[in-house]
Amino acid sequence: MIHLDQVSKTFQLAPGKRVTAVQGLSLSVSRGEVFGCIGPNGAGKSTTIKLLLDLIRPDSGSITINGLPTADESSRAAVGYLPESPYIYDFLTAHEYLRYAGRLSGLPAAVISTRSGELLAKLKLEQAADRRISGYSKGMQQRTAIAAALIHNPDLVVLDEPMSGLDPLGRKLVFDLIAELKERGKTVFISSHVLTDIERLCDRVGIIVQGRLWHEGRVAELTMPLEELFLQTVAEAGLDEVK
Amino acid sequence: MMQAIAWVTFLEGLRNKAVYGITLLAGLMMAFTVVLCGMIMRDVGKVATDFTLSSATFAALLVVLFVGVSSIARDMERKTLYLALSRAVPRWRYLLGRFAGLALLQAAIILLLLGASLLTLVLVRQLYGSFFGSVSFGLVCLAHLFVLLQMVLLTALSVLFSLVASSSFVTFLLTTLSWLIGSSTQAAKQLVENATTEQTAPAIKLLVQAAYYLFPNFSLFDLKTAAAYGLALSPARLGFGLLYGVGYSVAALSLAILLFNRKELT
Repeated sequence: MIHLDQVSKTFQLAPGKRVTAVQGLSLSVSRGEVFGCIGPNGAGKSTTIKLLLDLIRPDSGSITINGLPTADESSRAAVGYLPESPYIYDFLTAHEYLRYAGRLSGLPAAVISTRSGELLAKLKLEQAADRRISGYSKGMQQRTAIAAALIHNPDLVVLDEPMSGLDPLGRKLVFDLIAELKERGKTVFISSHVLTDIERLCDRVGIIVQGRLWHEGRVAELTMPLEELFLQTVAEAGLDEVK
Repeated sequence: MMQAIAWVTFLEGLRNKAVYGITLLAGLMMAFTVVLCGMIMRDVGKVATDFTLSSATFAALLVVLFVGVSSIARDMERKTLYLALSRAVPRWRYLLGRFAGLALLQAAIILLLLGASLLTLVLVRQLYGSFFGSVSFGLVCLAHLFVLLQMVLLTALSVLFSLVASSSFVTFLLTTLSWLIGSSTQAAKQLVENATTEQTAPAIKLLVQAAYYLFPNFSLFDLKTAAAYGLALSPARLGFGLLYGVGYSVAALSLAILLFNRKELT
């Protein structure tokens, strides 16, 4: 479903100062798979996601979703995205925001109404659904953003730190939602620092350090706890903080 | 999907407290017009028309500068546009949707202010009828339409500037500068072209002419005098103004789309 082939991306921070965020990254995620992408801060995880969604463009390499190049916006017709921090129009209510999200995907009003009712119920936001999002807590905003990412029943769900800002109840709700997506055969790409969730939810995991994919494999075939593998990989990559 | 983006943009403007403050200010200025006419008691029709149209223009300008200018810039800063662009929404649709929403907001405000202007003029005519003169209500309506056209053009420019500027403050400055220059270049050009070389340096003359051709001529949209005196306006003049406004807006938006398509949304 997702295919990145030798993708590189460098940013110009200031005249003469360049940072390579991603270099020679190749990875594939099959349909129906839940892929966990982990790495230290600044590893290139969010950059990889933004490249996948054509928010930024690679300097070299190719990226496809369902065989379509990401430069073609139709590749994202069945993609739902949750950014790292919830970026929501806070002057809207949750109902209005989900209506907007649904209309962006061309959903009819009746479908939006049904889907938003289901998602708001699953994410325990029904009581607050007619209040402006500006009055929501961080966790409620995060859950609203998750609902918006799923309103159109996407085949590929890209979640960047889905547990960010959530209390234990919120984490359970989101965890169950992702498990349900997995059961329904959806393809899920998760970037997260919560390694226990990655171990429990994901079929495969990739460890990105300093823009490169250092490890990739099936979670079921891990010979050590994921945290240990993560630290080992980061040390191999020569990241000073770990050494 | 463009309608959805336009509608959310329109709602954003409607729910912005600044819009209510600006509209209230314009309303108060128009109410003051009635008082002012009572103090002048001469050519009150012209004074009232000038004041109401100036209030409407000022209010619409404030909406562009304090609501419109920050709209796309804030979207990019807060990354609220990720929801739209991570779907199958082409970037040009997003940009035109935002622009359409801002234009719709301007239209709603100017329609409201037109109502207030007409009410003010009717009131002034009732109170001071013998000093009212020959104000054309039809032309007052047309003048408000041209104020809308003027502000839609300025909004198109602010959309373009938001894609080249590093912050919403710089967009604000560029938009304000465009308004100030565009409102005065016609008069400045006439002045320098009629002056002798001793009165105006050739470099200044060239600079003024360059500004005249580079920046939009907002004077073209000013129908205050015609409305106040009930002067006839040729269809050609009106047609040219309409085409000029639409053409310039299309050019600004086309360039904005080109820039936005290439922009990295980090």
